[in-house]
Amino acid sequence: MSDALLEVENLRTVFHTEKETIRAVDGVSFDVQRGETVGLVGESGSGKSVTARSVLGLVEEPGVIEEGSIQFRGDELVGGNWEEHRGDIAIVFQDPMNSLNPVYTVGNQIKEALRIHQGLRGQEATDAAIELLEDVGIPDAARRVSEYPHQFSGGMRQRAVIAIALACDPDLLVCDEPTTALDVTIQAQILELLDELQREEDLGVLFITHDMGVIEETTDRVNVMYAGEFVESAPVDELFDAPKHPYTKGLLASIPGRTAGGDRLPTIEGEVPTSTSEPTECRFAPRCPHAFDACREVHPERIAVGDPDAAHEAACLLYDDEFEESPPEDGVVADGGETA
Amino acid sequence: MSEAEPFLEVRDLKKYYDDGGLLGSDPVKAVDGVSFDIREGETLGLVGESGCGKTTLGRTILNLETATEGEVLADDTDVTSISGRELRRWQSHAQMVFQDPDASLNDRMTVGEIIREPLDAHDWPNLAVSVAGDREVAGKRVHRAEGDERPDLTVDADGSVTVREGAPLSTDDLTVDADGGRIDVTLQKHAAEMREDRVRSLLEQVGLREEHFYRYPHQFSGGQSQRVGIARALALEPRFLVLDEPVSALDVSVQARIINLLEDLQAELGLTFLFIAHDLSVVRHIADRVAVMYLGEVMELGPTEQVFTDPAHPYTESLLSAIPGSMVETGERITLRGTPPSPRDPPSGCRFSSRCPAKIRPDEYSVTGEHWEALDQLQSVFRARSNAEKGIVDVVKERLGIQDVSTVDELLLELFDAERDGDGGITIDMADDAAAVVYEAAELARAGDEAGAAERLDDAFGSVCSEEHPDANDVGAGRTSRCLRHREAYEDPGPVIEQRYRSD
Repeated sequence: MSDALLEVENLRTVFHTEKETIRAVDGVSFDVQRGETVGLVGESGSGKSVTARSVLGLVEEPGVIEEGSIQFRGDELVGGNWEEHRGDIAIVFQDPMNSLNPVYTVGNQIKEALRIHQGLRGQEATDAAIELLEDVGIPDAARRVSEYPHQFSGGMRQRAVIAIALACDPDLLVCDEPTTALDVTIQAQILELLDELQREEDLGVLFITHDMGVIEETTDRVNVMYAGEFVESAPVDELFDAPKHPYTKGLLASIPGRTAGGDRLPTIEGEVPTSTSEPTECRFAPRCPHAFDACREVHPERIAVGDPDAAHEAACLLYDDEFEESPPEDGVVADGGETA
Repeated sequence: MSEAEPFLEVRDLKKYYDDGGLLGSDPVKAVDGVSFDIREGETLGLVGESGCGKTTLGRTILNLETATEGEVLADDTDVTSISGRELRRWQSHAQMVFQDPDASLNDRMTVGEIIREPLDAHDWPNLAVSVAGDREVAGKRVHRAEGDERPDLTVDADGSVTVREGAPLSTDDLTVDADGGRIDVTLQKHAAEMREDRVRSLLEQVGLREEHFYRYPHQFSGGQSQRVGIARALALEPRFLVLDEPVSALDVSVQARIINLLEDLQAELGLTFLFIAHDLSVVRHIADRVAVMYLGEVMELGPTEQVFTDPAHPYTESLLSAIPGSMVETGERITLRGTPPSPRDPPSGCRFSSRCPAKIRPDEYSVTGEHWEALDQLQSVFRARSNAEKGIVDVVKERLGIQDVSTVDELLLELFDAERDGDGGITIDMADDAAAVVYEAAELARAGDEAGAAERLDDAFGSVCSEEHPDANDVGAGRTSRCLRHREAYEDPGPVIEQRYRSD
């Protein structure tokens, strides 16, 4: 594992507010290898985006990385070494319009990145910018390089943002909900593009989304995040075929349309809590249909579950031999009922 | 499902927006000739990409937008042309739930006030009283039920009073004096009190608690806010709800709970739904039938499961194949190129022809599949260029007669994988007659006539798809599909897509 592109160890990012300290990311560990896509999935407020921002050193006051290590190709980034690797890690955000400057042409914005990260100028930079736009599938690139963001459609803007990210010549691409604002047809185009680019450039990709379908399609390995922690990690096929953690099961079951309609959708009661103190219990226990007494007293550690060859881990006492309770037979989670 | 009576009949409905530009530009045809029935008690799903006109269609059906043409018949009344009292009655029967719960709730009002607002606006209650014979009805906040209006109270000839089942009042709330020639109805409660009771029972109905009455929307989560939006829509006892992306802004676990709530309410209150969504999986779960919209038209309509498992129209097939993950078993993905064209200037013939994976090709050219795609793309680039607002530099270039050689050449090299020959010209490796057309079009584009270039390509390589507007063909089992390939003379879209994109 030492040759990992990105290695995150016990990362804790907290936000100090006047009232309390919010533990947005609370001790997560994962790595990303070259050429692979690692997914981070969870509901709003689970800490996915803060994890992404932490990796890029973009956490701003009152947020702070309180503990843990983030190593990029073996170099420790925590403590302020992001500058050295500025161009090596690039990010694509959800809303392309927020990432593009409306008063500069798309070409200028790509050339800016090319100048800073690759030292290209003048005609050389223009040619490279056109080539990048062609690479990301913008038709008529030679003409459109001198257009402004507002002249681009939503899908094309996201392509332009990806072109800018590529202009940095990164090794690691962090995608934070890159297709959430797009229609399903455009989403398919962007996912296809990202997949192609990854293979061509041998990129490592950290892919963040709340959409299980996108996760299934794009990633090699998945981490399921809940209230700042990773509750389950597994290769993508294993996670979808044999989810272990009750939260993962509930999440998968509540997606409509996976089976023919008609039946009631299974639900998970309650909301994702905000973590403000060190966990002394399972954070999912209040919403868990299988919780037992120990779940409210013991913080579950990640342990190996499922197929021993699959590097499948879950943080759930049901799988801990110290406790008698064992997981339910089939993958069905009971209907959590109907409370607001 | 059984063939229930149509609740609504939408007939050739059109909604155009004319921004009255200086040059009298073409109107935006947001909804352009939509016809379908919505059956009593069913959920009709409406899907399509952003900008296809889904929301405008929903709003026009409710008469929140004025229809440009066509009609929407409810109980034989065209609701697009009513006004005054009739319109108010329709709008109490038919309500809308919006996508973004936070944006659609006024943050300065308490939840109780928000839900009460439609009751205040319609001066609720105003009870419809059905009486035998032609006796007069008198009293505050009551009126004689007119025509087919649903009565809240029924007074029989012998003076006995029944309250409609499910009506938000009880016999204790009123006294009826039927002794004289007319019927005097007196409400025992003040209207304000009745409204407050109504709001509390609505809160309970949507799964909120009484103490939520005095809270403000910002204190609520997304799911709770959407419940408030639903309660508000239900206040006047509507029979029909237009649900515009009601769960799109919600996380999947919250989304599941709101979907369950909507299904419960539909069963309990006998509601009819028009469910607008871009999320196909949600529609598959909730809708009995589904209408697929593209550029203001319904391309395919049919029972949900059949449309999902065996799409008839190439657009439906492409849309379904774009769903990520293993949700729907589809063959290899067909990725649609580009975005839908502008509804101001839709393609001639079939609206979908500029992106269609099953487009009918003219027989006279022998061109490879890849080159056909490149030709389509070249045409859409020229079209896009001719529609683009020109920057000052382009305008000056055009005025000075400077030819745009470099970008047109670049385009040909990129699209056709062409080579430059010795003297700088470009040669495309394609059948001579086809290549000649491309050179001609390129020449026009270099001279600045991009519209002409697009037209030249269309003249040569267009087919019936860009000439004829397809009708909504009956494709059996209560399904319609707007595709020319359903004609005898052509192969069906499914096998064509299979062969073009999924063979080998």
